Amino acid sequence: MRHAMNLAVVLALSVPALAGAQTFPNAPRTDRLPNGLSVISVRTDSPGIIAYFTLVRVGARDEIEQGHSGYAHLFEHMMFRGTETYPQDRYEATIQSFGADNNAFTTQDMTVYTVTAPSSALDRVVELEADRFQHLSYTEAAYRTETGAVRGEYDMNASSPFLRMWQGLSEIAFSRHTYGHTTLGYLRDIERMPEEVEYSRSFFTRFYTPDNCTVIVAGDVDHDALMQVVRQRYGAWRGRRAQPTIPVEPEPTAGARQHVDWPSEAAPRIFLGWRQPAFVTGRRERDRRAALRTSAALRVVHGLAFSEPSPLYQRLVVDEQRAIELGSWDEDITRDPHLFVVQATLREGEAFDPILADMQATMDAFARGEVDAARLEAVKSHVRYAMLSDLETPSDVANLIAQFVGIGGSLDVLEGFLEELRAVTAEDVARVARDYLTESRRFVVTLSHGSAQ
Amino acid sequence: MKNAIAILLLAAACGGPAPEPREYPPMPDDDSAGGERLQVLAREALRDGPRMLVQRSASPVVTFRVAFDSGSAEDEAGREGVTMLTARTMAEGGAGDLTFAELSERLYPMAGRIATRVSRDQTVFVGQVHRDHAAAFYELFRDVLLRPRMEDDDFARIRQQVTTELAVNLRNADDEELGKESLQAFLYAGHPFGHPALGTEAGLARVQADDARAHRARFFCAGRATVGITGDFPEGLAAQAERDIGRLSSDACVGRAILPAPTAPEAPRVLLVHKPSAQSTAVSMGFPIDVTRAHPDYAALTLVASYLGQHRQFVGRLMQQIRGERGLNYGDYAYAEHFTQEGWSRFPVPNDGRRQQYFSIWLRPLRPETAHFAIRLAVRELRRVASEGLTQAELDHVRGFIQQYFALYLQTAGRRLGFAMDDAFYGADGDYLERMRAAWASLTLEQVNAAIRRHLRPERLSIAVVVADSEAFATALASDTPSPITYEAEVPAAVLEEDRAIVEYPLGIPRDRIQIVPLADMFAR
Repeated sequence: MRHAMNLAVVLALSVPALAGAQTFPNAPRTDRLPNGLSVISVRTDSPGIIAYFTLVRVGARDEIEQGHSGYAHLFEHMMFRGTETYPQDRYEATIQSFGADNNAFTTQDMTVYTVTAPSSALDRVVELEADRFQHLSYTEAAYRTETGAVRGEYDMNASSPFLRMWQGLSEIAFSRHTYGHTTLGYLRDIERMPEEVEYSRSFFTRFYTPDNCTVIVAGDVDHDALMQVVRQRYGAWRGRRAQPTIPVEPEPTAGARQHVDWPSEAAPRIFLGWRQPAFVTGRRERDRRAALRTSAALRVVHGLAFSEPSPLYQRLVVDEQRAIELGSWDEDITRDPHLFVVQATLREGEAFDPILADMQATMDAFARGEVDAARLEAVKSHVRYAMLSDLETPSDVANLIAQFVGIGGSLDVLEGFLEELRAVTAEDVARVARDYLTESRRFVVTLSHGSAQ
Repeated sequence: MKNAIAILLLAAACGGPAPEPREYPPMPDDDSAGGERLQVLAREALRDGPRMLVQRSASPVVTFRVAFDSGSAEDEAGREGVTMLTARTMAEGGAGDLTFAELSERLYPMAGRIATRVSRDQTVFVGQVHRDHAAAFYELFRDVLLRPRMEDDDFARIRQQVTTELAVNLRNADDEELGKESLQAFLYAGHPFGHPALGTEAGLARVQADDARAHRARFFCAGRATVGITGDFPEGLAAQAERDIGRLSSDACVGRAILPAPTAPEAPRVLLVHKPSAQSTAVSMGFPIDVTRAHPDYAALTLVASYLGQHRQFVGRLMQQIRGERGLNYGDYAYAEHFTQEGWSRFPVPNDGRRQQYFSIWLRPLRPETAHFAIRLAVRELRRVASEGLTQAELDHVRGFIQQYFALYLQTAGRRLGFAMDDAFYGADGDYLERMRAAWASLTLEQVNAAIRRHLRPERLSIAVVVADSEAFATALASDTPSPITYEAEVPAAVLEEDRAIVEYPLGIPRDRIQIVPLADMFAR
């Protein structure tokens, strides 16, 4: 009873504040060039610093040809190999001359190039980025050398059970869709990469096009001045994105399970994924809102079931101490139907099945409508405040925009998602649990050292 | 108005001013631990109260940082890991009137975060919350520091987690961290920095909840604390925090132990961690230096480290040569002080200060057949820089980069606060970035190269390698067997020419200076 009272007091504090809260300190401004390049800028209180992100809507999802997994990620590397105007050494020296931090990352659905730099260098950053996206040029030797770094990245990750489990879960959950392979790609494909320079060039031509890219600038930026230089530097860029037919994964009728015998000592681990729908689908606003409501309800389930204060966490980790860690990928959103992922690390000697049964029982209870109203509101508050608290730097702001634009296709989905989140009801939670979080849609990978527990 | 009322209600529910800290049992005599005794160390005097740094900003995220000048170096002999268990049980257990479940439930709707990080010489508690909830959150954060419950069940849970992190994850699931921790164990054997902040397996098994309670009373005291607050926080909160932390005092409190100097090897040496299941080879190398952020040569050494291998940037020679030109691995870096990356960023965590530092090089995992070559390349490069220094052009280039790049270290109000607290830890005057920029700008080539001659000591190099076939690797290293290299790509003639020198470059490390340690023995006791 004391719990409920405390929670009610906190909610009285939090809910009115949310109603007027804006996600960003200033409204984002958007533009589109005639060639299809989108531009989004947000001014934030970051004197002298900008984050300049280029979002390319290409990821492991687009790797449909057999034997060619990992190329979206490979391109994340190749884009640093320079152009005729700015060969790699000159590009790096120029970036270094103004002390910028440049990096990139690849997901299943997108590749994002990030530069954080002094705002005084904006014009030079636009020049450099526009040049490499339009005129990337690399020799076969440079290509082959970079495939070595990609292999090195694979090796770097291979000592962790995480990569092996993620590979396993992807494979058993997707028989047709390209989500069946990881962003790094299969090792066998990585080993063949050095021989595939021509394929790599075609990959660039097909996906690095203006209509498939969005420039996102956050921080100490003036939108009009930005657009002036963007038009100048990117205006001549031409090309249309290829439209590969992504294989459609049939709806699951039965789950699947795999066990990994890890070669050295390892705590027993569970990777579980329930097949869930795409983050947003449909062309009509009504359909998109319905999809966002479902995604918002699933986000709420993450908090209800697997956050630190959740009853399941408290029982398994705190009270009974059968699990050492329990968590879920609450921020993971995808373009196509993917997985609602839960991870657990168990105490040595603890069996997998009872823990899996506890997880499923939690979902089944939600499906029956057993949803605590106060806890539901607490989760909604948490999601909103966690998002606001994670927007400290220009890079944080640009990253959030990239996630939602990359998945949803436009920035509208961010506010749409937050509006639907506020509207999520206990019935929404019950519905998504009934529709998606069932045993027949559940895929599980377990890992231990020695025989399965 | 409704908000304000709610804040008052919540504050009332939390009990207002904190009661006196709970008395805890005295620390057992060190002899009872049964571990290997380190030498008895003299102690510094305890400060009268906490240092206070207040940096009001417009940031909607309010950050509290409370750093204690007490880290794993002060783990009692035989109870290695007690600092980690103490801090984690405080931050991840119940506090004040609330159980851990109740505390979690309070923090959750406001997305408030309370975390701790233990390093060799410091332990920091960080609280972050949106300004809408700053006052309510502070009441909870304060109780974690002043009124932690440290109950047996919470302690047992944390110990299980920390033991798994050490004995399972560090040894078996992250060869990069294993390599870096192995280097520190090698550099600081017999020194209070010699075991990981996580502790040792034997130490963690021995520590009891009462040990953690006593440890807290003895070491997490006002006289060791630096308190920082930043963001758009309510009036009066900073003063309240200073008063509250000032009450963390008891007869048990003691000053910092005075650290002995690490033992420097007379010649290069190698530690091979034998891990049969390792698919790739992790390499870290380094040597202790007597330079910290307050030292006049710190600015010069940061330039040199950046030149050799700025963390995760292509400006560094090692990154260019090993990854860029040869594609041998994912990254290769150098550091003028201990470096812990903050999250997914490329910048160091604040409040990770150490009174004694080391210069290091980190080669990310290499395919076994290229590891010997890459070690040769890195050692050759280090020796070249140590003997020849930088050229004016090299200095100008790296100085141009670092003058701008280090501004990114201080992007958030929370990080600016953390760096200011670090300055207080080191006794360095003035704003970190301004101070460094002024120093970098004024350094001449002669000054930089003189600093290199004073501090870069490759003859004292310790190299730690995580490797599957350790005996064969030891033999190859000891005999300076040529390590031919082949490439998937056609590489420039200049690179091949350089390779010819690297392939047979003598490391000059005889077999008796190469030690092989089974994986299971690492961090065992």
